[in-house]
Amino acid sequence: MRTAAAQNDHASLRSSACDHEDRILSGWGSRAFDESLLSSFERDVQNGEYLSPTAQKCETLAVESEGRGTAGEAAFSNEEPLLVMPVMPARREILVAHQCWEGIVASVQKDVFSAKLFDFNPPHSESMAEIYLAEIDDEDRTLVTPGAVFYWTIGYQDRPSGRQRASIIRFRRLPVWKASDLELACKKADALLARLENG
Amino acid sequence: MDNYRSGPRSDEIEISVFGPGYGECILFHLGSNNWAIIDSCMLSDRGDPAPIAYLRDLGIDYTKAVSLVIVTHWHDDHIRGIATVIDRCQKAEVVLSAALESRDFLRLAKLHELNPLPLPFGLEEFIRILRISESGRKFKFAIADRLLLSGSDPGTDVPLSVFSLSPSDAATMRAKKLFLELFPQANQRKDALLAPSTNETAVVVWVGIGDTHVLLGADLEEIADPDRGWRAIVSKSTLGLSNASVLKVPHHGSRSSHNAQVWNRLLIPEPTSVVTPFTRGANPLPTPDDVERIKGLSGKVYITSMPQSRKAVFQSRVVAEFVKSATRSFQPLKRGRGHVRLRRSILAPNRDWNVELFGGAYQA
Repeated sequence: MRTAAAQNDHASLRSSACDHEDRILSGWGSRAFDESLLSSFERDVQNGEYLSPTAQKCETLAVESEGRGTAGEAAFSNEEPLLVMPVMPARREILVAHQCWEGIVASVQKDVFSAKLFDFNPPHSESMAEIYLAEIDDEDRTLVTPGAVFYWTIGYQDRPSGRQRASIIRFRRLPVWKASDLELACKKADALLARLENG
Repeated sequence: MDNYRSGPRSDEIEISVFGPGYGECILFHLGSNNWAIIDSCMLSDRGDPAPIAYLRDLGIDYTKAVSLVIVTHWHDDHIRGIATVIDRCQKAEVVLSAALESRDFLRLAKLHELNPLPLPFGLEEFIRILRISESGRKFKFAIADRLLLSGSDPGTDVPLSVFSLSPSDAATMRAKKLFLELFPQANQRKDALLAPSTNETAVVVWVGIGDTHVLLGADLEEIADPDRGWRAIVSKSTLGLSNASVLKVPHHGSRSSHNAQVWNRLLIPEPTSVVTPFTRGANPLPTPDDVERIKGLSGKVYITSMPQSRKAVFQSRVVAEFVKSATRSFQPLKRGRGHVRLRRSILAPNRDWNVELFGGAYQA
């Protein structure tokens, strides 16, 4: 799978690998709840209990979900369902990062771009990689130019549909130079040059 | 490694070439504990730059012993840690390529000082160097046929001189034009500024100590223009230089840096050649053909480290599989102690060089 999402501020991504992972994992509280419910459901299915449409059994399985009806309500309606399935709370998409790099594009060729990568994980080694342009989302493709900064995260993405392996390359939307920046740089450089020439 | 930490004798020349695979640095003992440093690289991802670490290993007080620091050109593999070297070697005269004595280069540096990006790409070293210059440190700029250091070794009274043989005026002018073009316009995205291809502005260094001559080729390349690159040196230099017995082969031994006249005019027949490899990217240098070409012209060829790149460390099998499928190549920048050390008495210039190899260095 490849994903490339637009992101305006990646400053938090840069903090450190650990911070990054902590932030990503912050949604795991709800996941723990999901998992205990799921295992209870699986156990009951194995015992054949879900096939019984009695109110008593449905009551024990009733789980509130986000604004939708509950299994319990269904069980107490006039028409008894043949099969009652618990409704799981909606699971958020969670990215579990195994490794993250910050990269700068050095050059762009026909099928690949060369980039220098800095690993957020210890020992924070530097690498050079030639990454296939096909890995980049169409939306980000125009950003792949020499000097562009990006983040590459590889790990697992947990979705309602299940866990998937994920490789996500996101390019920074860098701000632009202001005329005042350019003027300030020129002033400072001219002062320095005068010092060098007179030194 | 038993002798590694023993420094050269006072009357001994030493040429130490470090080339871990990504990066290059040369230390030159000019006699009587007088040292020159040409470029800088790192032996590990953290820690001190190679020249500082080496001199400390030898027990030498680099704050006093280093009289000259030369920064050959603006490429990350030659200047990593060089600002630290300059800062610590307080007595040293600092030499930069004349191409950098440019209003437009300084404007680029000052602009990116306003917008520092986290990854090292070379410019941040120059920004630090410029800060050092603002504290009053004097710099010298190298150009073709400029005398950088002269005198005599106080111990042996043998004359010594260090010249820069490049960049040429034409190469300097072209580089300045390039810097002007790199300066962004208002409303242009604040991308990282990458070092342009400025190998033609690299500072080639000639060291003469008595009858011993050494040519340090930096990354200068051969260009189809008599006013630039190696052609400018062999055809325009007025110094009448010849008989160098050691060559630091230019630009990692690449074919693009080869000029037959350099071997014929500036070097003795079958000199000792030292090559620093460049393992970054899909086309590492030197190629097997490059090695054969250099061997055919040299008496002995030493390469500072093996061409294999460092093994990538991935945090999980998932990462390794994704990287394999998403990349054509993935190479950690190679670090380590790839080191060729040559020593010879100042007073015995006809004697063979005593060569020691450390880390992954080997004789080709």
